[in-house]
Amino acid sequence: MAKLDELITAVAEGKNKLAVTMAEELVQAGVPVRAIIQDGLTAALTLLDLKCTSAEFNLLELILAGRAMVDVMDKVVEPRLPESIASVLTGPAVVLGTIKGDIHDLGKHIVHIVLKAAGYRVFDLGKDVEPALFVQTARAEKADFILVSSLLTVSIPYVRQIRELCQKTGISARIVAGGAALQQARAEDLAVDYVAMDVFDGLHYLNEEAGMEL
Amino acid sequence: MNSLDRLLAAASFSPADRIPAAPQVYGLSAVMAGMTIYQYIHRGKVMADCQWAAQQTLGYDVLFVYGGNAAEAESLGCRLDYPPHYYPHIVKPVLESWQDWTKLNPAPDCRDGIFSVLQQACGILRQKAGDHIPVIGIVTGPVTLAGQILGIEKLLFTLADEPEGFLRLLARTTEASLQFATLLLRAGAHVIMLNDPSASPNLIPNELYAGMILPFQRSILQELRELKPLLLWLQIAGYTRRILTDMAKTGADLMTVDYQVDLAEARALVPATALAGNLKPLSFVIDDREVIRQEIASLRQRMGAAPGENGWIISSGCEIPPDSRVENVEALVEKASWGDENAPL
Repeated sequence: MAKLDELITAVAEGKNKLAVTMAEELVQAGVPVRAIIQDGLTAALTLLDLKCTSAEFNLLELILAGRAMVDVMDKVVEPRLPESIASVLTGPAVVLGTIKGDIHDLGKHIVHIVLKAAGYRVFDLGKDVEPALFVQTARAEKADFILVSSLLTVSIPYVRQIRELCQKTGISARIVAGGAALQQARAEDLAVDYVAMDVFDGLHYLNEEAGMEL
Repeated sequence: MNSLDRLLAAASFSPADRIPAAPQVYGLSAVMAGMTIYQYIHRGKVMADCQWAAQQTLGYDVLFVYGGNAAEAESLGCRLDYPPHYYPHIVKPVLESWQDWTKLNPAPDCRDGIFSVLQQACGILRQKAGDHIPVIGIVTGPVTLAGQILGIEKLLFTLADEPEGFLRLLARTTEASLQFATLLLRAGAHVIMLNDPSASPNLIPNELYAGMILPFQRSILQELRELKPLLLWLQIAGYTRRILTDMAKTGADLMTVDYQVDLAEARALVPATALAGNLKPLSFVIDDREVIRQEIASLRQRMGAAPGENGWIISSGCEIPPDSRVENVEALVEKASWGDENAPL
């Protein structure tokens, strides 16, 4: 459908107002809102994924696309769903946060948006998060994944504590690390299962582990 | 040859007795001296003494004056939170939009706060070092400063939605960065490093650098040149491969290459600009000295064997973290001095 392609392009190019207009027209034309998410937003993610190699990755393009996705979700999709958006997202649960000692959250914010668009249930703990809170939340929400971000190397000892606490409490969630500081390390250095080089690298890992497709 | 002459030789592609070693030791010097970062950035004498002691102990070729990326933002009126063991961060951006410039101090207030400490440290270190060891004053660049006072997310949206507003904000932060750099030079710094991590292609697309950022960084360096610093150093972290040739147009004598960019490829792209780099900062925390040695050996092979003439200064891609292993910095200095790559370690 020509207009669906236009929606995908508008989202991928970060044209949030156009994306909302396109999504609204699609809904008026009878396209189900679930299709807007799955065939529109998720398809835009695929487009971005192909474009964003490590050398071409930049936060500006991602936050613009992220804003477009959020605007479509907030202004077009959510008002039309009889149940809460959470029930549409039946994918695995992810606990997400910036580790204790670090207050940077821009990259984490993008991860949140992308994972939500990809169908994951995201429990975002914010920034400067104690290791124990990651684990408690993972336990409470029966999360499959814990995603921890940091731009500061001094936070690495706290990152390592997550594994230790998971083992003590019998949590088997996969732990994924990301962010400029943590990306320099190997998974074994951080006591995590995977170190994501960027948001799509992390998404691929999650999809592979969860048996989901983008 | 003393350290300052060694650095100048490499910057001008002239022969040196060995490869200059400029590991970016900032807060690590405090840790080595048993001080906290909080103590380090609150007294000029403490900062100077820590820097001096670390340099004298390890024998590298530089002294750095740096108080975290928020020092200038504090002088412009931002309130900072000061954790005990790391650099301070901004509690909340002081601007709601790029048009709110009038909310900031009209001229930087550097009588108190971290920036006054940096000026003191420059003066003390210049007295100690004379013209033997270069004192490098680090100043936050205009893009990073704009991100500090507006919030980085809002800055990026401004760039996309109101590019004219972005440019006007950058014009203001450019004036501010220039003022701060001038203060450090007058306080005794030999060299100014313009450190602008938010200008990185990791945040802003490569294709926007030339039109939106380069003119501002260039104007700072051009103005500073009038004050006759020994060198001007530009540092932008991240995947800068595609903007290196444009970065060279700022007129910087020296540019840092971060670990993500192949150093030999960078040399081919900018053959006339001295390069500093490009060891991975986290390696100094998690790896052992053998890894550092091997990395430097590999870099030496690729950059050519002529110290100074290859226009290369061994450094890290960014700050060596305060929790690094000191023996790894020792390994860097040892390998910089090593004469024969084929000799056993």
